[in-house]
Amino acid sequence: MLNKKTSPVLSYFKRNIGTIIGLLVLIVVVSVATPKFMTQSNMLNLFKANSVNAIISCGMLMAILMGEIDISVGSIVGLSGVVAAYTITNLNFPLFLVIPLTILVGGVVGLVNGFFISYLEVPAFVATLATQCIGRGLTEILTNGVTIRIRNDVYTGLGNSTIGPISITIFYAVAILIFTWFLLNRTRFGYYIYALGGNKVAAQYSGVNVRKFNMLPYVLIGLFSGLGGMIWSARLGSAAAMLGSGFEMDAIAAVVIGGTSMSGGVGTVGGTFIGILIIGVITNGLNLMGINAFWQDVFKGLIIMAAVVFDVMRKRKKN
Amino acid sequence: MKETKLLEMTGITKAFASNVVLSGVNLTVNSGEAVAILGENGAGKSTLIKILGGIYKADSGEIRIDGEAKTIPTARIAADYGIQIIHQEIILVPDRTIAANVFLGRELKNSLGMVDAKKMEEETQKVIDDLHIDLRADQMVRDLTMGMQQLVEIIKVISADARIVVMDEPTSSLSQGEVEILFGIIRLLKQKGVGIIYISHRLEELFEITDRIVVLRDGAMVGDVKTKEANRDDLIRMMVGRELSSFYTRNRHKIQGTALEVKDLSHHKFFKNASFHACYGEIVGFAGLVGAGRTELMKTVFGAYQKSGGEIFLDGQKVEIHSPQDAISRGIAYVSEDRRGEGLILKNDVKFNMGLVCLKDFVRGIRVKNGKWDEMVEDYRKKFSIKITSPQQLTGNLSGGNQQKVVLSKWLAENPKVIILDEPTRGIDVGAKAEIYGIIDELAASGASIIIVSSELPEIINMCNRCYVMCEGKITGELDEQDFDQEAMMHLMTTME
Repeated sequence: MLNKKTSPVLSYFKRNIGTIIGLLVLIVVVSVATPKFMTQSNMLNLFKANSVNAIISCGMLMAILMGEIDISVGSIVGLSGVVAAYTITNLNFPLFLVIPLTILVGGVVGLVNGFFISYLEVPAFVATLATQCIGRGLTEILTNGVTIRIRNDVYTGLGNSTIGPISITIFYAVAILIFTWFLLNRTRFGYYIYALGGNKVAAQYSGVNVRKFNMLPYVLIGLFSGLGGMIWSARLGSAAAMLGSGFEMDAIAAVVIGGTSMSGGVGTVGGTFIGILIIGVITNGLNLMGINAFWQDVFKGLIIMAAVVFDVMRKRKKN
Repeated sequence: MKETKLLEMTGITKAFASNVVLSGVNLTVNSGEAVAILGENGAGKSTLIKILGGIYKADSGEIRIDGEAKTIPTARIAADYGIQIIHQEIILVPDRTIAANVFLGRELKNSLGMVDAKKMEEETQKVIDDLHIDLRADQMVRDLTMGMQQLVEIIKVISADARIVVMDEPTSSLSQGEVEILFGIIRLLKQKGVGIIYISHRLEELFEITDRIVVLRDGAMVGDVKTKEANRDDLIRMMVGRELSSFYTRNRHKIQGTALEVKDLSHHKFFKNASFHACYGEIVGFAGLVGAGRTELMKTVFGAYQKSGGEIFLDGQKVEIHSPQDAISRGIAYVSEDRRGEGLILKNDVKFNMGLVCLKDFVRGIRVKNGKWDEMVEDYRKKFSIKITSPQQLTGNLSGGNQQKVVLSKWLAENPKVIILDEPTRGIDVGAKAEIYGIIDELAASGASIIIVSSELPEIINMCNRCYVMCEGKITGELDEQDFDQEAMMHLMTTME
């Protein structure tokens, strides 16, 4: 047999060596700059703060693996969060209805995205730009511009309880990461997503139902974002019209920093995980150093640029 | 015509790490001479060309141009010396005019320093007219056939005052008529004193157009013969270093009942009322020029294109095929002519590609299991002697022959009843070609019904039991193997009754 078994841990480091080094450098710089960084409570806080981005990034990874994109995720987070707040506070719905509804709202927007992209062949950027606008508009209509408070301890507990010292949101994120990894690496669905992104025509000619498998990931992205909306509204105990705004940018950044090719077909959950951590360490570190939010964006942009340039140069060298 | 030495490459040696790809190769090209470089994939042809084109640097050896020793460190300097390479792949901007493409990167400017589109069109048209090609300089490249686009590449090179033109498999996407135009151009260039280096796997072409043939094998020069004095068998022997007992494998198989029958199949754009059939154990050829509608006909049978009329029968039963999935579930396989574009996912590895069609067979519950999959890859690797370093090797890095074997494995794992092979040996070297023919023969022996679409008549004549000829979207003839005759077939390919 030609098949040489290499340790999965080793191959993981090998494949992601560039981003891992980047992450380590960041960690060292931040640790030196502020002693508050390397504490257990800060670490737990960092993971908690990035758990929703992790969930959304898993969805974004699927879109980018297909050579496409979904920029409606932030609006979906907002819409589902607002739907949760509205149905609890204004309509007094019971939670066993609210929770599935919140997540399903995301699924429906995802279904719309997927249908337009796959069956009507609307470019993904344009289709999700439209649903981004519509979704944001709907949250504004529902909230009427006023933040809706959620006074339901069971619901807010969904975002604020802890298991031991660890926030429950971290468990959601880990579950979604593992689920996505399994989906992409162990199921036909996953193989077909890679095939679609690698060469759509070849996939079609190999008997892959490209329309179906191009649409389904968007439904999943929607469901993930819906879950994100639930978590955020629960954590905040309220939902405002601008909830989730700009979330798509952090997710895209995490996926791209994680070594996923924007042209599709190449990328991993493991790489994306490192991307999420890099984004998380930047935000957290700059917060600890007391750098204001406006400057944070500048730094984040510079580091994204540096990470991608580094990755591109490394790949060019290899060829 | 005076014969001056335009280019002399002597003792060219090149190694990548410890892997010697060229050792002491000599290549001379006189002005007005067409020299063929012949060799299997991996023999060192492309490395030699890349050294000439300034992409690689030779480890040792000398390059003389017009008798003067030169170094060629970059592609731009190669162009300054008048060395122009026409690559196999077409590298044009589809939404620009021919003239804009021809002058891309060296646009002509008017006195105000602005791009002078009119002048570029005039200059381009002059070259086109010189070459007697039926094109207009202001046509969009997108609207041209693949073959015509290839000619635009040549126009581009000529307008840049090339002195040495390298053509890498220039005819692989040309129709017979376009090949004639190309050969006309080459003769014209030769008269003008341009030196031509011609790389092709099609031996017939070399005999027609070149003056001398240089044969490479495993990085060494094994022959340099005048085309007039060369013969086909000797060249093949030199190239592969062994006797190819028979190039084509063709055994008599028992032909059984009809597998596929197509009645009056039409496509609103590409073909009309096509009727044909193929039996189990039979190899049926489809001859014709590029653009005759053969590929489109096969893609319609396969469900990738939608028919506008007609019926398809499998084992005597009428079937409706609306998608490749329908076709595959009924046992029809289609091996595309465009291996890189439609056959393989180049970014993915050998194992991934091989499993794509029969992935569902590896699924237990919802999980894809690797055991059977690895076995399948190993089986086909051995069976077809596919040269890979591991199943994780990217298919984009394989040679054409190995790529084709991966595609064949992918399809054969499904045990199809009807196998449609569209240009199965395009861009594949001689050794691998013979192996592919062997595989095709075995498939027919095992009872599969095989359809070969090929632009190489010798392939059809030597492999098929029966063949159809298409011209401009119509089936113009059907011949049994005892009636195979190159001339008669050419006639059917080029004329409508």
